[in-house]
Amino acid sequence: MIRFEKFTLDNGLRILVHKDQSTPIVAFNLLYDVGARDEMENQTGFAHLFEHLMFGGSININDFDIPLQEAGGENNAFTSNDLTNYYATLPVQNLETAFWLDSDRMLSLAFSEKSLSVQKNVVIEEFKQRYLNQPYGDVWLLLRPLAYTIHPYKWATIGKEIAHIEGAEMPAVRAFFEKHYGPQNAILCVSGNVELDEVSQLALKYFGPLPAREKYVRSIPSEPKQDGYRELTVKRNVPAHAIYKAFHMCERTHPDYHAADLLSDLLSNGHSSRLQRTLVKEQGVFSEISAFIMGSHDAGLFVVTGKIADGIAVEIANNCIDIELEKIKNELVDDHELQKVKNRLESTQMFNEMTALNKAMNLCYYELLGDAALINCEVEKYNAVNSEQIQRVAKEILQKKNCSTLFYLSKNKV
Amino acid sequence: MNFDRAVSPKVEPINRVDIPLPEKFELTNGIPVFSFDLTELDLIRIEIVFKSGSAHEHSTLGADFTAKMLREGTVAKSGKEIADYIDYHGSFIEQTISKDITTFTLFTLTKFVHQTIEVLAEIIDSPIFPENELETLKKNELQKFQVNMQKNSVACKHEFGKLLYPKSHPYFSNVLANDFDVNREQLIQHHKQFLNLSDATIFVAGKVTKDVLKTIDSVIGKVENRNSNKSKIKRIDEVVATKVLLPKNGAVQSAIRIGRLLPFKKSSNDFIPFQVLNTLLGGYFSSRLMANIREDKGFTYGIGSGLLANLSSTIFLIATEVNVNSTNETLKEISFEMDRLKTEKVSNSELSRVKKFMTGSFLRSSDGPFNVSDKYKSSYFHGLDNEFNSLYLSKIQDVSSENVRDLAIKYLNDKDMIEVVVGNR
Repeated sequence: MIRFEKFTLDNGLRILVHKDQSTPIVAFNLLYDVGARDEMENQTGFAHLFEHLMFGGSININDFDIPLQEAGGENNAFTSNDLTNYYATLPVQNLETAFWLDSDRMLSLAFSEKSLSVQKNVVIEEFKQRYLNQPYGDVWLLLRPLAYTIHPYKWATIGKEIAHIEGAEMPAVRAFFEKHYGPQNAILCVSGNVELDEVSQLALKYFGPLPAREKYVRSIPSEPKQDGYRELTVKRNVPAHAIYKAFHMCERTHPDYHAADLLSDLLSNGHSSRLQRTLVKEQGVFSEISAFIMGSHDAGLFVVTGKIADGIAVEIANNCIDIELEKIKNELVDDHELQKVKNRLESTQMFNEMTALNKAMNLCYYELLGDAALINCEVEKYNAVNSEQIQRVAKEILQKKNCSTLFYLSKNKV
Repeated sequence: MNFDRAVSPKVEPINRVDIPLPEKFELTNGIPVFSFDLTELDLIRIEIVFKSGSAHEHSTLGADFTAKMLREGTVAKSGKEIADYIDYHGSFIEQTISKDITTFTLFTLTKFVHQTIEVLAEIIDSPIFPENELETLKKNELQKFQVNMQKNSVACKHEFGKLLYPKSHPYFSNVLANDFDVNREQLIQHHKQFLNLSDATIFVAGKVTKDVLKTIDSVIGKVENRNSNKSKIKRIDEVVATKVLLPKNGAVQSAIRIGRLLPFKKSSNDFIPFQVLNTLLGGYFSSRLMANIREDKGFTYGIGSGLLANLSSTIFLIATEVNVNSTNETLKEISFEMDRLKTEKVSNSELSRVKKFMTGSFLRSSDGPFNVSDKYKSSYFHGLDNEFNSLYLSKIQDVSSENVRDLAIKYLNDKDMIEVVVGNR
């Protein structure tokens, strides 16, 4: 049970406070309600590029990292299709430094041309390092546009192509800041050995004076129901053939979400999971395999992927996956197996409660979904899933006409 | 409420970090247990640690495969049954193999402590190395190796590892595809010689109740004492300087690794001052290397340097992946930054910033039962006493800009470095 307090400033900034007396470190987590799905199709990669620019100096403070280091702190950030999350951890006695730094960059960035030019290059190198210069690196650049035809999830957070990043100009950067980086669009969580009073005072002092900007109302077209099986084959310089199968599933707040998550766990979470045992250990068809859900806010993807063992034909491997998926659709999962994945999940949740930072990130995340208190309802929701629901959800999701398959083949094999 | 946003709030220094010491116990058969009872959450991490690793194996990949095969079948349970049992109880078992140490780690909720410790002890004590499972593991590990070696950074690390040590030294490493065809008998021997439960040291962290300790003793405290000989690994610090380019057609980035062995141990008076030098050069986001090669030139997504202490060697290295067209310039800039540390004394303000960062880092790495246990364990195996950690912060403060410059002059020289580039120049 994670206890917390919540209050909202006049300018719309939501603030959560979680008291944790077990640590000398305080976590300061600031989440902005903006992600890659809020970009324009001809200007992708922007939310993530912007995240980089947030470290290039703000209107009153020309370096973000140095003052934080002086305070004995550390920080980082990440961007997804749904959100951008900034976090800092520092000794609790220096909490005020985090308030000072992050309120200034919410007030206004420095918007320096040099920073834009350098970060464009840094992000381009990141694009290469993660997506182009790695075996299987460009999978998501291929799979997303296959599965999504309309919804902005069709492009990855890094961007559709390097040219979009190269083409980013300062006026668009300023406009993006105005649109998405206001207090009304943000959620802050402070987690550590802190008192509510102390946090409210700091919040009022540093964030209180910031004016609310125009509330961004998201209007994203939903992805139309997939009407038929899709397939794409590519050949790359990789040592093993790989298969990626993406099925459409529900959105994060849908009542079937937890069942879909457990379904993926039944298939491949843990050494005793179905795909691990049958396809990797017993049949030796795949050298590795995994089933997971994207967890995105809007209707997401349920993915099954594996690297095919040497000497096994692609069609056979693909068929083997289909057979396992049919099994889970047609036979009710027994109590032991279902309890097993629930036990694993409960365990994972508890281990996640060990650090102030994890709790801060999760509190912000659930607040973004609608209510931070949801954090304490998750285990209950998973435990409420029964075999019938698993089977129904499996039948809905794991249909061929709902599937986009990417065959990512080795150039070097027959 | 008017205040000047350009002025930073007052910052309090971290003066001390009190790291709780473990409670020490001995099991009925004498196995030492270090306990860190430091949380109210009902969870436990147990580590069964052996002072042997890849440096001790008689054939390449022996240590790795032996450790991975333990869970594939025991005298009492098949691999499938073991997997199911571990998963059903919401527990996680991992094995890590370094050059010097092999660790089996169990994460579990306290309510399942008895069942899960039992299966952990069982897989370490009575594995049967079933042949089918071994054949499958060999094939799968080989494929993972082949995929990994396609990554420039991995190929770079692999090549660097080949050059760092002489072939005759147990730390030398050059894994090849053929090495994955391990011999089952050798794994059985490796297990017999190096993974005797009675030789283990146990670290338990989390909510360590009396009940947990009793359970550990009832499960592991009865295991027979077997005396096995451990070979001592000779310390190695001979410098080898060489430059290698592994060209990769069409690479859009080059992976670079530059480094050397250092002739001092963790217990040496030079170690902590060198850590300060290392942090300044490439150990944090505002380091010389990051500020130059990433934040000024935009050549890379990340560049850093590190100091690693094995039990018988100490390594310094710099690693990065850069735009292939900027490879030569990056190498020049890395040299430039090393030279600068030799010719210019670092300013008091920058040195102070590095120390504050390191202090904060030390605070973070001492937070929580698992971190406290890790810190203690690291000192323990290096033969350091508690003072290493309790005096760490004051030793950092004592490092002067002269110390930093002198260490740079002594050790940061191109002529002593191994340089590996995978990509293009």
